[in-house]
Amino acid sequence: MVGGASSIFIEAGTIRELFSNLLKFYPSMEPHFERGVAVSIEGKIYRDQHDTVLPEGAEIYLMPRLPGG
Amino acid sequence: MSLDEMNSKLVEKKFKVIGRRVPRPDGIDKVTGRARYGADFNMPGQLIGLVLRSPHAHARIDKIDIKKAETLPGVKAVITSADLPDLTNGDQALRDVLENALARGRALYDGHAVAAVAAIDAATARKALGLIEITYEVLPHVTDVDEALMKSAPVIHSHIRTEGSQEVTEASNWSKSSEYGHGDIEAGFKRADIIISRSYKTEQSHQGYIEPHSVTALVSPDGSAEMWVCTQGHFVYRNHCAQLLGLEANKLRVTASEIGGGFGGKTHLWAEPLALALSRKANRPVKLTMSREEVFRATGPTSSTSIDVKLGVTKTGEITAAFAELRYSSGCFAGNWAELGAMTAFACYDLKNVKTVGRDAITNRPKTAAYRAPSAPMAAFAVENAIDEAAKAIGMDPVDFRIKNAARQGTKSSYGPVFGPIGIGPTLEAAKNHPHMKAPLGKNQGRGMACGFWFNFGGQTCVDLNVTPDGNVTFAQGTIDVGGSRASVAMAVAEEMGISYDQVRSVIADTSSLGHNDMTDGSRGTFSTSMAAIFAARNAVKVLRERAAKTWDIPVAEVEWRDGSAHAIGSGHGNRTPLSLKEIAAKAGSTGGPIAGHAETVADNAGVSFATHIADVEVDPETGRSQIKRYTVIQDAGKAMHPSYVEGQYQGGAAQGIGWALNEEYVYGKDGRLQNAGFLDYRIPVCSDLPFIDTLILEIPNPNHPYGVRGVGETSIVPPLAAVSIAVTNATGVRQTHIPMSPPRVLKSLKSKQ
Repeated sequence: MVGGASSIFIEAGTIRELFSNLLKFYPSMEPHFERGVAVSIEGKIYRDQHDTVLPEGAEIYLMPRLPGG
Repeated sequence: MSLDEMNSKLVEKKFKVIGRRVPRPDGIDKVTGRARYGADFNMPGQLIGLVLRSPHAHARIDKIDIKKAETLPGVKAVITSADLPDLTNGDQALRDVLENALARGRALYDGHAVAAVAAIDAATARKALGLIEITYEVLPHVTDVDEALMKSAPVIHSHIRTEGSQEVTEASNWSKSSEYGHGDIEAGFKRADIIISRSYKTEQSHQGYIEPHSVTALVSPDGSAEMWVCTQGHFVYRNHCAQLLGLEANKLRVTASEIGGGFGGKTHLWAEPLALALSRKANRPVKLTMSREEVFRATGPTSSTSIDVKLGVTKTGEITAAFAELRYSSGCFAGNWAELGAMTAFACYDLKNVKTVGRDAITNRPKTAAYRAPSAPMAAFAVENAIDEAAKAIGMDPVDFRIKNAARQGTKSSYGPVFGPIGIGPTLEAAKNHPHMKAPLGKNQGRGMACGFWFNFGGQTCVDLNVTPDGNVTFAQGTIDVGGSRASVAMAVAEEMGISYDQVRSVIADTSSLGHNDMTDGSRGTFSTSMAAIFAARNAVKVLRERAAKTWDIPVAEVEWRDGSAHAIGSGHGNRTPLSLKEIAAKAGSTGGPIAGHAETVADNAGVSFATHIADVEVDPETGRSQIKRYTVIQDAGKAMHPSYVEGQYQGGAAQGIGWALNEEYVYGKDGRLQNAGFLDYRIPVCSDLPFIDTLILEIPNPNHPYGVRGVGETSIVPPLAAVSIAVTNATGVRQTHIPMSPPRVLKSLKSKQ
């Protein structure tokens, strides 16, 4: 998906910019975005609020958008 | 929402209504039988819909001849997949929903729908089903998760390649590979004094909701449609059905019935598109209610699983490395259920070296659906047993071992992110100090305790609050009430507006009355809807203050809302008599019109959830039957808005988990057909099987909700499989590795010990 790397460096100010840049540089991630991706910023999980600002130097995790019961 | 709206002062607020055990708004209707469930809805001229299902686990459908059925007097429509053309436009997940609703060229499991009829009555519809002639070519099948992953297994879908694996390039049943973790597990295992390694299996279980699925659909020739349905998310059903039927979403109005249980099983579409397609063809309303057998065969149970766990520990109780490979069946379509297991498996622990591998497998079983904290209970069963075994191997108390290794604020979780403030530590400490842990055990009895984790989420919510002319409040929510959210939101509105709970009536609005609402899943119902209710009430209070200011002809800044009334503040207005909600509402027409408050929210960052359970089990060595003697649930609720409902969620999750642990199991024959599609042969626990389930609600305020509330609907099903199996292990002296621990399986394990 990202050439086997476990972490990558991307410049982005918000989740929306992050997704946009990820797709620009790693188009093979598109199927994941179609299924839904959640973002963990400093341990807090965001599924919907794409305007959320990414703090400088923040640790970001991409996770599948989870189903629940 | 702003940080100000979420600040800790609000979390610590002294409540007047929140936290009380007020009467349930649906209580009288439910105990008197007046509540209207899915099958209670009827329309003039309605037809009865029935579905013809595959008797084969895997078969090519060479021909379907519906002529004889169509010409039977009283039959108004017969449909096959030709009546539901593929409008999914490359959306594979939605295409899977379509194919699951009605087979397209192949039957993928025993019970897969292949055709449906609508007739004037059930007898005619049943007769018509018998007149549909289908030519099948039976294909090889596979129902076992491990066998499905073997190279020799029949490949169910030729288009499936293993997502996430660069090594596998040809089609197989291994649909997804996922990996989580950090550190160096090999180095960690080298540092260990003792290594614990074992394999576990869990069988497929069903949510077992008492109300079967039911839908009544009416499609008009002008392209508008209505649907009355039992669901956990009528907006999502609306959106998906509109796409599948080629309708515009605003033309399909969906009204949700009361719900007799869902637990994740009513988050997916099953027969709803068929009812709409039948109605469209017949130009009449069509009611389609599943039998219990259909619910078992053709809705969405959990995954069956096969899990390997390896733990490295030092003699002083440090876990140096943890590894798990989790293989989950996703049924006949691709899913990410093993990935969820891989994410949750070790989330309770603070681990320097951890790795989990998830392998999702396609099998000839019904499509897997969510079941309360989906995938987490099976992973917890395997991991918690390994934790228990490791503690015993080093001679340490299992509770102390867990406390020593528990995740805490700042822990890098096994699935990646660093935890903020979390509640596993307090639940473990509470368990350690609970009287249950010290109570004596009798002959053939054992005690087990285990932890569980689930994510929780918030999602999209849209609500509408209106003040009636007599000074009461109606509240419309679009999130289905499965666990008491109507009471909780009414309490939140009453709290914010300073009025009594009895003055607020909350109803579930249809899809034409509100903006989109996400489903009631992910423990989001009360968490997110109460948050929206609080904001809607604050918006209404703002309007009420403006109306009072107008009435008094003073600036709105000099009007304060307190105890359900507007108060003029400041030196010039001190003697004014407060204006009550009733007085302001009565004059609303002359001060600006109806008074309302709306809120549209996205509640991200709901905060994760942990629970610890304690189980005492007595095992009959003659029969292998296990009986739960005592059970305690300890979980953080953030703030229990209505403690009775919170206790109910804790007890319900525990009861379901106990049933899964001891008896519930899909049994397939060698022919790939389900052998026990009914409650006589698929045994869920009844009252006489269970003791009173004790609960301990911890209240550690969630900083991401105005009142500190945390979702509580799912986590309580995560620990029971583990807690009960550890108790049976302690009672019998044999490690239990296969769920359910049905009497024959326990007897077999006892014989292996001898």
